Amino acid sequence: MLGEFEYLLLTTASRLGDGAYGASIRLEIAETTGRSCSIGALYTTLGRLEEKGLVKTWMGDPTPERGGRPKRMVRVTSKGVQAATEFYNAVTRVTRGAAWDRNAETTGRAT
Amino acid sequence: MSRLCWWFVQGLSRLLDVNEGEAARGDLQESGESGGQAVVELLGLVVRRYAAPWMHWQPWAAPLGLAAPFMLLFGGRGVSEPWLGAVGLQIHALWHYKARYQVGLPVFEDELNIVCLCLLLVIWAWAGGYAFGLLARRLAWVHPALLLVLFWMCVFPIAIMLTWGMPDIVLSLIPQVVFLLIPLLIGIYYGSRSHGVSARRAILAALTLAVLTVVAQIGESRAALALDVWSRGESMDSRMVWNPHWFPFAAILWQFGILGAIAFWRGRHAQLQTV
Repeated sequence: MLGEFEYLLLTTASRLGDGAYGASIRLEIAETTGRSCSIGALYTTLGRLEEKGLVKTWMGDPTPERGGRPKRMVRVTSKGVQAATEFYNAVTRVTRGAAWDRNAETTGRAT
Repeated sequence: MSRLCWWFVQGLSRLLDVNEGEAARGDLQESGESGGQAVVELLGLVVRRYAAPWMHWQPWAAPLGLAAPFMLLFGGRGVSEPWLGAVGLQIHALWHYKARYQVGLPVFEDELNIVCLCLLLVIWAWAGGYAFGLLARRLAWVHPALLLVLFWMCVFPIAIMLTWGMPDIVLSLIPQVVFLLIPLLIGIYYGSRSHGVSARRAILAALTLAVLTVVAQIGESRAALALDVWSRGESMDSRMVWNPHWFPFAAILWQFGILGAIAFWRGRHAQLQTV
């Protein structure tokens, strides 16, 4: 079972597709969740996910805006997609009937 | 200030894997972080990277790899013969009296003893470093046990300086550096990059150490006998004497037991991962 931040990272990397690398993932997480994501948390979690075979990382090309330094590119593997799907389904199942789920339904009906 | 911060960031990134350090610095620059913020971010990554291995048992067990060699090398009488002291004595005699310290043994035997002691020091220091590096891996160079050993190695010459004087520090440093420190660091370097030794090599190394230890102990016993014979005004004969100290042999079993256990554990771990 994935951890919350692991799921967040997998989902973000999957959404970004070919443009998924350290800085873009950090920015996307900060924009979508409103929480800042530290480089330490990002890289250690990426390392853990790679060890589990859920993502694949490799060094990309250097770019001028990065001072000529390469990007660490990220791609979600099929095993990663499966793990994220399982996590999402589990969260959806466990949320069913919870107070905030009913609120969401009410809000949905009202709109 | 900002320039100083980025210089610090560059230094911190060297503590990381080359690719990771470069990618992290690139990310920080692309995100437009300030120098101070970049230092905090990268420091966080370095701390996490260095803290993570402590969650496993290996770095905690790493001092076991250094225990036997350093008990042997610094244990003194009662634990083992002070090999380092014997080599140091020869260097001291050569420096001050331009002659070797002799106890009445034939020259060839005397030289064989010194060569044996030097080899024992080198092999033990290397084996200790190797086992330590094998367990501590990337933490080896910042492991408190290594820092303690280096501190002890520094304290030893300082203690001599206080009692003997300046030239003797340099003299005592020669065997320390040449026969202990350098082989120890080389052992750590190779150990931290290795996946373990094969059983055949471990047995060969253990046998070499055992043979050298027997030769050294026979040399020590014959030197003691030669001194005794000389004090009675007699001349030394070719009698074979051996007063064994068993601790070095127990240490060999311990050291190569550790190496064997690591090789066994690594093999099993790899097998489980493939299953």
